[in-house]
Amino acid sequence: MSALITEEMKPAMSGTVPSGLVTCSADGIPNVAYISQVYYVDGNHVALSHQFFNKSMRNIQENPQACVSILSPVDFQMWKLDLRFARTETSGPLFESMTTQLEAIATMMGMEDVFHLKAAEIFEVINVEQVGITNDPNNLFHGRE
Amino acid sequence: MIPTKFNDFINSPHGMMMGTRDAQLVPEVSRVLGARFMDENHIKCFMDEPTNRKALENLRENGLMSLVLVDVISAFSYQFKGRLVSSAPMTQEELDEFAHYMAGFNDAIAALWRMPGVPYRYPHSSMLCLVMEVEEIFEQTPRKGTGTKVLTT
Repeated sequence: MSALITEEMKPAMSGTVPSGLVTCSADGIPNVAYISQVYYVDGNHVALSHQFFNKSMRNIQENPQACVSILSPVDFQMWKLDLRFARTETSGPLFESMTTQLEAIATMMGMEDVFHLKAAEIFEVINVEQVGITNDPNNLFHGRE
Repeated sequence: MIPTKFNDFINSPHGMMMGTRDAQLVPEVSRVLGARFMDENHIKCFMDEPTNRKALENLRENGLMSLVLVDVISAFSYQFKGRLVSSAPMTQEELDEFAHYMAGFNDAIAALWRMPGVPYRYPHSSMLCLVMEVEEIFEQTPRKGTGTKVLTT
């Protein structure tokens, strides 16, 4: 299976910019939450930091599908990743690496006392859509800073 | 009823994301560029049509939407759940509100990352105004106890 996650996307998984995670309950109610980490595992898997998102995880247990946005802090490209839940890890090299990254994010945000990694939730990447940035001269505010 | 304390929060230049789902319960995430308090039951939000076709298709099918707003400086955050009432190209008044949002969000991002101009790089042609009837509000600031329901209609 060829990798869906490209080199271009990896900076968007540095934790610099929070990601939007959408899940859906069995009775069809979408839930959206900001999360700190979408962590690169391999070309077809990511791990999401499980800190607070109890509702998201309840939805995942009912319906394993999810969709997450990632945004590059380099050029502000955005991608949407369609995901399917694979497994939970609460120890091991991946969990430790995510813990270290989350501590750095918490320091950056002044949330050292708040952020605590409960688990690494690992998802298979099913599809990737690039949203991109605008070069459209018809955009209302193109080029404005 | 949306408590009046939310008026200023909704109208502020926060980071915003929307969640929808299709008939197979496949979730979809979308970027939202601005929201406004309308009345005690409704808020409106702005998004571009070209990069959100799947979400708009989902909304035409079932109308269910969730919207999260986060203060990018303090991380103070709320999620609004409800149903789409209408979607239409923006009026001039809404374009003015959108421009106000973009300027404010640009300032917030510049203060956070020292990178002015970022929001203007997000696709923002063919903008739509979505009116949402709010049914539930959840507190989502990252801290112990987050996820508390604030409002059920």
